[in-house]
Amino acid sequence: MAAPATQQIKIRCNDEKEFTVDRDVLERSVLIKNMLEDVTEQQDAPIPLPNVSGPVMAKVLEYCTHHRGEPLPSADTEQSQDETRKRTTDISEWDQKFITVDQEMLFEIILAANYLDIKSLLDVGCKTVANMIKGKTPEEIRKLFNIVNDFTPEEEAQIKKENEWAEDR
Amino acid sequence: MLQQFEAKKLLSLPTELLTEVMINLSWLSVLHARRTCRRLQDVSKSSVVWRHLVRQESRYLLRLEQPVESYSSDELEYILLRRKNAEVRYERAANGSGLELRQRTLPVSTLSYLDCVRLVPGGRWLLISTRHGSVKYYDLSTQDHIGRILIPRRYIKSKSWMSIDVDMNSPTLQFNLALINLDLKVHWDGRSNSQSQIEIWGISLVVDESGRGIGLSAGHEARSSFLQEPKGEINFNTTSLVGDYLSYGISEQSVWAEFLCLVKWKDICGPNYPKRIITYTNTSVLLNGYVCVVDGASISLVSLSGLTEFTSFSPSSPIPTLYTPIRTIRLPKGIDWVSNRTIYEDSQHFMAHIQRDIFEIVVSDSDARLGPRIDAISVRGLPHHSHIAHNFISLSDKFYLAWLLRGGMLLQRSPGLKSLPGHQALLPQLESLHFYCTLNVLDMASGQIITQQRSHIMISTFHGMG
Repeated sequence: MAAPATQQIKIRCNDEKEFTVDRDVLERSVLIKNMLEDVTEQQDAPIPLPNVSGPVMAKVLEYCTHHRGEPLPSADTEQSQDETRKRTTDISEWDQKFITVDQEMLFEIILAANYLDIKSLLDVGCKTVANMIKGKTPEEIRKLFNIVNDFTPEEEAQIKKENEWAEDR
Repeated sequence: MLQQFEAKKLLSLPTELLTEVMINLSWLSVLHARRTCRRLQDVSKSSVVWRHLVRQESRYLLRLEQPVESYSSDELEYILLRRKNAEVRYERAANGSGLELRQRTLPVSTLSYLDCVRLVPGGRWLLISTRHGSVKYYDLSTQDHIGRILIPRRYIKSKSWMSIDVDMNSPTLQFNLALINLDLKVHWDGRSNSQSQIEIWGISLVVDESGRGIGLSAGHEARSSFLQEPKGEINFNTTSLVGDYLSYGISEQSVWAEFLCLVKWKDICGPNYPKRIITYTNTSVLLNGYVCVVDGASISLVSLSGLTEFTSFSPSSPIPTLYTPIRTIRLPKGIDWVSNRTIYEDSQHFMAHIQRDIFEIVVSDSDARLGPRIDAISVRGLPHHSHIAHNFISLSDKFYLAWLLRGGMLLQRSPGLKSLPGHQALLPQLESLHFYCTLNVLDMASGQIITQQRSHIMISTFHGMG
């Protein structure tokens, strides 16, 4: 019965980088969990993950290892939680330190968490981006994320006017 | 050009993930993100984002008429930003920068002292009861303010009072309306006021084929006449409806005594229904489980369960009607009048009006051991204050006007209005009185006052007004 806890699973990233990881760590990913459940026989071939690179997977595994053993949200409650869940921008201290990465890595982690279906990691990533946006003016947001302003001056003036009352508080 | 490479990454997230990011933003940050580029502008208009922002607000404050899912993202944005706009404007007004207001006219037929005006919490529907016993409603969200009949006319001349009790558990707007008509024709002839009635109407939202609220409709719930109180002057000068309870005032002019009757309106079937009766001197407001009795500058909180029930009552030989307040607070000056109550998360609120000042009175059952708390907060000093559509208009009760309503809170005294004593029963027996009255409904979002045309109202006599 102790076998699942010690079972080692091999995965291969899109840059051929391979990891051998404890099954329960990998099962933080609902995608991989479902894959493993579909496979009854022990397999030696690594699971291919064509959408994740090695360096990103290393970060994701760091997260999964830290949070191993924590209860996963079940599919049912996830749906209802999404309706009523009170979102906070609180991120735990460890997660905050973990997610302190450059923007490229941050977005890679978000994409990987989405692909691998790791809800809690996706949340941490999205909240981090949201925290970067918070309290900034449109110009500051553009600068931070290097967004090109593709509005015409007329459009920009129009949008600005619509909610001008909300400024200068 | 490393930065540019990174920059592409935010916008290279698929829309669903950009939406995930945005539901972690405040409404203001969503508006800021919207202004950066077309892509984020599109995401910022997602109904997922606005549903989420609306759900974070207290449903007691936003007072949606229908379930969140039934609104488009544009509508939710409008509803939420209207409230936020009201807060911003209110803060500015409180800081002394004033409100810039525009006016538009609500073509209500001339209002008189016989009419009662109430705004349904939520700010969209305005109810006016007329001297003929009818009730009309106006949809303030439209530009063409046509009064539609909610309850048909039944009287030649009556004085009316209304109180609204919204069912907060109903996903779609639903409320009970207490309507009291004092039949003046019969009354003045010296006969019994047998046509005077107390009615509770269940009012619900009428929806069109696409599920949009387009009007109100009334279904009858209870009716009672007041046959057993032919002596003395009956004056239902204050009424409030909360759940199963209804309160109304009775004044007995020969002894200058006033009483407040508290009844379970579902028990009303015939003249001798059980009542809880207390004396009171100024005004009152019914709360859930309590009644707040206003006497001069003090407000006393009285528990309903502590009051004795009677089945017969004669104002001229009153039964003992003393009460023991659980709590009493004093305001700086004598209170002119109070609004009906509204509810928020764990507390019940109403407004007390003292000349030019408004206090918000908050009653909360925070601690079972310590019992209820009652606090008075000066409205001007309250930054978050912005009770949308506090049920606050009271044309008939006192001759003041102007309250604010659809977005925030502001009270003005109509400049053309003469100052009158606080209570009708104390009015001199004037032969005539001229005054202007203006019905103002202030929509804080647009800065518009929807105003009834200033009407020159002549009150020919107060005889028999009670």
